[in-house]
Amino acid sequence: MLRYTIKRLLQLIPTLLAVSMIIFFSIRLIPGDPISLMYGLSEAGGVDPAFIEQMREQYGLNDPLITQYFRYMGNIIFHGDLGTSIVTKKPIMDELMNRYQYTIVLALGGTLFGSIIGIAVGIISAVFHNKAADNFLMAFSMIAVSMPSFFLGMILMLVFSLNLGLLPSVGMKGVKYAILPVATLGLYAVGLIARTTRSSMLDVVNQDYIRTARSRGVSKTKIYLSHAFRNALIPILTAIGLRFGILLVGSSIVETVFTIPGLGRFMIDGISHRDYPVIQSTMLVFATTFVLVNTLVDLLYGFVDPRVKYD
Amino acid sequence: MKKFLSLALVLLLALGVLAGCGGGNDASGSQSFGDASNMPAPTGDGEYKDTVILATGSDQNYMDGQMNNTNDKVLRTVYSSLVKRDQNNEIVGDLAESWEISDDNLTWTFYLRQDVKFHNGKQFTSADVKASYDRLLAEDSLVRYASTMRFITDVSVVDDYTITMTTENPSPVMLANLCHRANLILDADYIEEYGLDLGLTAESCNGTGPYRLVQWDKDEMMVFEAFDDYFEGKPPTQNFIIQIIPDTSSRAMALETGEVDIADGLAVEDVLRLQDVEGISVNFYKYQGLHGFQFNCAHEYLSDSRLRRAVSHAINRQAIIDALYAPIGEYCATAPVSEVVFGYTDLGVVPYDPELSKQLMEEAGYADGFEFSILVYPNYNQSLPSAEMIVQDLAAVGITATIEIVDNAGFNAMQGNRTYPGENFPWGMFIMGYGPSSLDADEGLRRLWTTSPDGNNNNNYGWYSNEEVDTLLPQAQVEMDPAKRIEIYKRVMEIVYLEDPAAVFTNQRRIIYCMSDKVEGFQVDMRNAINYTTLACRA
Repeated sequence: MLRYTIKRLLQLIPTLLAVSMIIFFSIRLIPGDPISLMYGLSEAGGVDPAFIEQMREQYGLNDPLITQYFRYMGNIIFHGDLGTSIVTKKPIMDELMNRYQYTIVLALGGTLFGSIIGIAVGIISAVFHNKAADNFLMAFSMIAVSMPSFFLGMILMLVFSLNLGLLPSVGMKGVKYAILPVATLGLYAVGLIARTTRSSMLDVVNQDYIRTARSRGVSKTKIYLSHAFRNALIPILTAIGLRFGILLVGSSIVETVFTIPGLGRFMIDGISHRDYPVIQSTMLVFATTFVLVNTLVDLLYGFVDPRVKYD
Repeated sequence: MKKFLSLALVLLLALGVLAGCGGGNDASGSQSFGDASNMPAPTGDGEYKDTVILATGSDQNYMDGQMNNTNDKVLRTVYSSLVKRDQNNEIVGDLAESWEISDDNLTWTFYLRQDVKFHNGKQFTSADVKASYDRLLAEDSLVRYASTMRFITDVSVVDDYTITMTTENPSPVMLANLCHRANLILDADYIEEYGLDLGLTAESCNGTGPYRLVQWDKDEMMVFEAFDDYFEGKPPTQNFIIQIIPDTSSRAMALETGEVDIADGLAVEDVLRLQDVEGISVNFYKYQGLHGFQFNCAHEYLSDSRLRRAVSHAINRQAIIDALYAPIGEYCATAPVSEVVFGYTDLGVVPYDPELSKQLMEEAGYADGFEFSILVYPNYNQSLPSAEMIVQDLAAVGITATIEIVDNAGFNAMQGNRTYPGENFPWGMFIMGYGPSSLDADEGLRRLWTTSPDGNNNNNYGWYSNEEVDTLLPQAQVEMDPAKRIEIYKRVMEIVYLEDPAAVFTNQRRIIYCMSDKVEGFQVDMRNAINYTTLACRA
């Protein structure tokens, strides 16, 4: 188990290196330049080329891309330094420390919310397979998964902030503020988790040992919750892990709608300013979190199903 | 089972109904677009909130008037200038108590207030004015609007509270241009200490204005605190916050829920809706700005003035305005500068005349039409639908236009990369805004449309060049008789607008602020600069 964990963590290194490379080079393909954006179009209708050169030099943007890449990675690996934002002049690490908490609350909260409701919906659907409740809940989960989060966020805001006046719609200053954005993200996750739970449960309940348990008079509730659910859990866990990644990145939209100063908005603002160090670092943090969570999910398989062997 | 289903359906329906009934909306409500008057200063009786929050869509690029190329909205929280526009848009003293001009009209002497302190406690003196103008007028100045002040040849300190400015020729635009945001006075020590980083963080801002900037989370919020020693007296509200809410619907909703007190830059549909919401007032104000689609005069076809005129007459501006801008009370531009700018003359809406277009195309040898693309970026209100309507109008006379959309950074890059004549800039037209912060046609026309000595037309981005315009505009710059200046500008506008068009000017813009009706003392001038010394909100 320990060996497997170490092996998985070591696998992170090439994954993240590849990710960092893709990010680093692809963002430089987008038209636009942080320096000319920053200093605007000066009196001469374009910033003085000598000045642009000087600033590009200062930020090391004149070096060959490969040199820039190795310098960037070197600073991260050897000094833990993610660089400084070209726009705000602040160290990116400080910004990330401030903002990460919001995004992780949203993504984890959304995943938890989605998992609880999704699993409940999935089990009920499986229990009432092909009955009205099943059809209704599957229709509900289909709507939840296909509704764009900016739209859903707006509807929730309209109902709970504007019409009922129960919850705030701007910012993230406490638990009350987290409810609507977490629900927005969570409802999006409900669809997939519910459908996966349902089909996984249906696979299991058709197995012989379930039929045997039934014939021996074990109650239906006990069969579904104790026997079937545990065996159906692996695909559900996989679905949850993958959904977490989608929610993590999807948080940028929810953060924009609910005006939350999270990592996603930082990334979007970084893109609009072409602030390369910010874009690189936020994407890298997203990628690292995603890979770590999926590694964690893989490790959880062993706890859920003792037959899973790690070697 | 049935019970469960019914309950679920009822819940869903309830959600739908709740979502549908928006806080007392009355669809039949009246809509008014009249210009709002500036509110009187708050009376001070009763209870007021200690924090007023204004929600807007995007952040300032710099909190330094010289480097700021965003807008006039926020800077005057922190900074003051020698002279300013009051709530009636008249020019009055700000840091300068009084001023006089020499008999030859070449030397301006400004007598400064002696009771002004910077936010860090430092006494304001003429040295700060001198340092600010030295930076603005330096040869290698990065200030986009430096050309509006280049007529000043010397700035000299007479004593701590007296400063003179010398010009080469008489300058009728001196006072108007001194109101431009590039003239906001900076602290000489901060210029030295921060250089180009001045105004990028809260710590690097030190002004003499009514508020201190105490926190700036870029693209999130700015937090201001009333400055106790402000020379005109501490403002009525202790804290002022600018909250960046990028999504327009979220911004409108935050206003409705009372989480913010004032919102601007809302989408047309939200502005219309909010007009009928109880407790919210929607105020329209006159504005210095126009929108338009500018010609690339170095373009293969559009370098021919006849083809530019053909395009101009093929576009039905009134139809565009009726469809897209009339709902928020905006109307057709009638000159290449806004109606509130000094020097404006009403030249009427450019006639929609497809037959004339065809005739002009035939004269130019392109009776069968020609092709070009239009560069659009969506930050301009209704820019994409406007471009789409233009494309349809052009197709009707045989001109094939396509639309290319880029974001702000992409747009900026394309502007920055271009080199004369038109290399790296293949687009035939591009969207542009026109609004002189000085409210004077000198900036509105001369800064944009004169040919620079190197032939690479400085600020008009579209390589527009016209000999008569180049002769007339410098004459207006030194003409001290306002009536004669207006005559010169009229002629220039006839050329730029009709005879040798530089752009298709579409809509006369309005300033629109939606706010809680508890807000008092909200005053904004025609540049969209808010007066922060009177702003308050009842509890």
